[in-house]
Amino acid sequence: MNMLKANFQINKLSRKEFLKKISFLLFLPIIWLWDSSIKQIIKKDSVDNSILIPSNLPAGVSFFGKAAVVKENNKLEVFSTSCTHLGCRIKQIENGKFICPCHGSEFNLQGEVLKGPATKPLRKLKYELTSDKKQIKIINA
Amino acid sequence: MPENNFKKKSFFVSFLNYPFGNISIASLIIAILSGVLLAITFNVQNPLDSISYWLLADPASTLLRNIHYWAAQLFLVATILHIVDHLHRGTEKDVKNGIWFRLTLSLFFIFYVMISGFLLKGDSDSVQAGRIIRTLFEQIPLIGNILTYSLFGSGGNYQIIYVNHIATATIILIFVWIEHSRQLYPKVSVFVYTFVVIFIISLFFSANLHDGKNTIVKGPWYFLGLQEILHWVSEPIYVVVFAFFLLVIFYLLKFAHQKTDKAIKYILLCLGLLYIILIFIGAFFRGENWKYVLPWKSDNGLRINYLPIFSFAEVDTLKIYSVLGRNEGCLSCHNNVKGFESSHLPEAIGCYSCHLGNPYTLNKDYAHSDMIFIPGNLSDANNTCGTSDCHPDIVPRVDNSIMNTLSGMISVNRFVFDELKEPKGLFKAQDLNQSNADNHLRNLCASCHIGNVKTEYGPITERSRGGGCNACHLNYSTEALKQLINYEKFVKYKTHNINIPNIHPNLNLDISDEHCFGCHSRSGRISTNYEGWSEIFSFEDEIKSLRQINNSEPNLSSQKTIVDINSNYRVLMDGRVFKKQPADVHHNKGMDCIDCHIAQEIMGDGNLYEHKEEQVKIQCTDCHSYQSKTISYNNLDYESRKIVDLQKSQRDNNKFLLIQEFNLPLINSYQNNKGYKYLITQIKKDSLQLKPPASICIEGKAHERLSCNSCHTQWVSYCAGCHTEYQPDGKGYDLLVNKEINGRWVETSSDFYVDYPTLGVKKEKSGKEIIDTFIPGMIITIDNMKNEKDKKIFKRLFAPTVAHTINKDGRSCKSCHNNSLAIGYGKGKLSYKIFDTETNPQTKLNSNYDLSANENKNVANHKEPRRSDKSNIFGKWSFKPQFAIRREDNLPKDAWIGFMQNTNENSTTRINTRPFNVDEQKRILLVGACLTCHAENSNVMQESLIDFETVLKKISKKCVLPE
Repeated sequence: MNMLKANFQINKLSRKEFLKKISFLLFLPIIWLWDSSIKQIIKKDSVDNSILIPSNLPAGVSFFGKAAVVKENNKLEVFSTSCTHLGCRIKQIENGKFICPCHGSEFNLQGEVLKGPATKPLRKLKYELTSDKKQIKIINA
Repeated sequence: MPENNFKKKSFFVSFLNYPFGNISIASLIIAILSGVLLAITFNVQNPLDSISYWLLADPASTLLRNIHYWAAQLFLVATILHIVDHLHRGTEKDVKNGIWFRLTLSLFFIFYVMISGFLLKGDSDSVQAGRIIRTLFEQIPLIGNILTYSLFGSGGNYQIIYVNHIATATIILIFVWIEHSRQLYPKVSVFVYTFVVIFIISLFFSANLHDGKNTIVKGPWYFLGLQEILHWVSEPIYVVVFAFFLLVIFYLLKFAHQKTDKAIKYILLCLGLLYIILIFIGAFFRGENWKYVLPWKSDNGLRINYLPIFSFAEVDTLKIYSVLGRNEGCLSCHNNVKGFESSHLPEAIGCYSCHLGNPYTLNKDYAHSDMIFIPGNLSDANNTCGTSDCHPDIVPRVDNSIMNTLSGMISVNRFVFDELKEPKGLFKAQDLNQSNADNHLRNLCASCHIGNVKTEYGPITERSRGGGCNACHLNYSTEALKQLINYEKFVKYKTHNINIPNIHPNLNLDISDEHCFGCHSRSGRISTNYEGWSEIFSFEDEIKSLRQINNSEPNLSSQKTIVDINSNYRVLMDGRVFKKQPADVHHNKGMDCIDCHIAQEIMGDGNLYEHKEEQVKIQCTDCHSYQSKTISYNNLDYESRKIVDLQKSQRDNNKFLLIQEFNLPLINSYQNNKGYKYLITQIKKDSLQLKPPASICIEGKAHERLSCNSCHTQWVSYCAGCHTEYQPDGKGYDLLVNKEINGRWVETSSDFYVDYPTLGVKKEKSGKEIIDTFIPGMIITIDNMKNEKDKKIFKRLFAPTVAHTINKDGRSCKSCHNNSLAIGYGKGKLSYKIFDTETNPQTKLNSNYDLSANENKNVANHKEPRRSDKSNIFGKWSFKPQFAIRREDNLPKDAWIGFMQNTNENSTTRINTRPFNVDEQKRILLVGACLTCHAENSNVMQESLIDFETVLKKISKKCVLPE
């Protein structure tokens, strides 16, 4: 105690000034609460992102909001319609290409980047047939 | 010069003396007050519904929204100018450190309060902007995710944004305002002027509410520069770091020394000016998919709607209808329109889905602005029929369809004009240029593509060309047509009270042959062939009277040409005359084009094809064979099942036939439990039994290379000669862009005649060669060209054809083996003569065989040689053409090849087709020689069908084969 007192005296730091200096520490529990509550709500929001679509799709590209299904030669591939550049929703294809309406990135029907600004391919989504084979469940859309 | 500089400086300084701080605070107060009032009627659960309802039926709330919007924009502009003013004066040095820190921080909240207001529209632009802004904030290290969620919540939930907009950000801004301002409230005069300006602008202009149809996605005007930057930057983290860096630099300005301070401010000023230029580019030079586009060629700009508050229509608010989750004003006035299929009912998709316009106003003029009166053209199909809610998979297919690209027409035409070495390659009509070949197509042929724009109301007729989706799916009921005719009369003569039609034309699957007729009655003329009409150049009196009748009624009701059954002639609406011929057996059975040609080949399957036959999937053997593939209803693809449901073409759970090569269902067919196959005509709903081919078609080796068409095509139309020239002084028309031009191409063709098709060889993808049917594609002379006046071209090209004149019985043996036209020599006298060089070297022993005179005879009329020693006896074929020899290539005008000659490579319009070579001609004529003596149905000829080689080994002593 004596040593602490001595230090205060050496630096001439008053109790008031000391409290002022460490007052920012009060934010730490608030930040912890903030962080925890938001992590919890994000967790809740992302419980089930799967979507169900009909299995008997036409050839070509079909859009289902978050997912685009490409059917070529009876082979299905499902892509996220979220542009890998900044997350804009891709809603249409033009001349056989997915085109982002916001910044003009272009992807081929295999999801590969044809033109920037995007540099990463469209995210491939996993899918599975439902037990009655009438629907496709797109997982983690 | 110094004086000028002084004046410029003086203007800049005096401009900065405007009370921007006062204006900023006044605007903020107005924005807060109008926001408080707006919050009463704003539903944060469905912002788009709230705002669209205000625009439709609540002028007071609309005015409040306008005031809120314009006050916010003015607040932003005035605040920026206020900051520039104070930085210019250097007053940041006088502010306390803590206040300066909070002022710097408030820059973020100014933009936050602006962008959150933009996001709270909940429209299409806002949703996309929300995704971008979330992704940008998620880039921030460590705290990215929690900061993003805290400021913007999750997508589709506006509660957090709303709370931050009206409370958090606003309170912070008010706090900073009170803390740093020397004068708490703006001057009354400034407040009044600010309010008056905002109010007046708000009376006339509204912020845009993006309807989701317009494919141009843009952020708010102050972020268009950022959107442009992000277009060029692949890693968004750089933008986030740079923005943070700018904030830090701004904060450090207070502590910078004079020289550094000046340099930083100069750099900031330059960056600011550059950003303004980027905003300008983003606003006016960026269109759909952020592509560069000139301002006058696109619907871009600052997206402000001229919508005067006093233009609001008085309306019963109970009549605001909601379709597809949005309010739509159109139905408030047009709710009694009838005539649709269930899938296109206004209750289901509204009017706006197809016709666009402005769905968020009940003012007639504004509602109808930018409306598409005839939707479905491919030029607007992406925004109408092909949106993601409707038929997004089909429109790109039609875009790539050969009926839109005209790839084959373009390549063949360029090949004819020596602009391509081979008639192959992928081309698009939209890319036609002004070379000789392309100009020729643009002037004479380019209207026949499905992308040609339909610009006039009314049904699809013989005169129609293109029209996108309408080309096939548009149908007028009698009542709809009657109402349209009355409406057209009113518009033209204004003789009676206007009755706006309320029976809408239907868009359905009743695709009759008339839909195809306009384009397909030209060139290969398969539509007219199918119905049994061949074009002629005759102008007899009886035809003239028909022509007069046709010309006298140029109204909407004359959908079809007049046919005089007694005279066997038909005059089309375009004046061309046709003569009756035997119709296709499928037509006689009541089948329409769509009974064979499935959706995937008419609308395309998404792939680009070089020539039309590559897009066709159906083969004769898909219906007429002993083998068959089938598919059950449950296994049908989505599109086919939809058509089956709409056409009600399923019969008792029977399976559908599949097109064997492509595994595509024939949705109007079925096979029953006993194995019998049937086809249901899609329009008339008749059930027709599908019969397998006759034994003669499938037995033996002799004809295994023959296509069904080779035998069963009854007739084709020949046009053996055409002269084409360019007339620079004539008035022409560019059919691609539909406008008049100077200069035109004029074609003069020779007369038509009807006969069996010429036969030739076609190499299939598998490599197998088959015998198929051909007609003169172009035997053409071109001179006086547009670009090379002295150049002359002569081409003799035959084209593969599927004439659509099928009969059940097939053609006779002699019509091929003893027919000069079938082999490719052209019309003429094909004679088989037998010579005996021992007894009389100069004299023929036998009489000749004349096909034209003896076509139906089965027994030849010559005497057999009597001698047992035939070493000096031989037979020889000869040919005497009917038409004159052309000096360009020494062939008769209708010939494909010379008698017993091979031809050069450039004799057909495809790279995989050719005429018979000499060896093949000899083999055909060898059988022809047999047929000069043996009847077609004789035993020996029947045996030769099975194995001709064996028959040849046991020929009698009487037979004399060609040398």
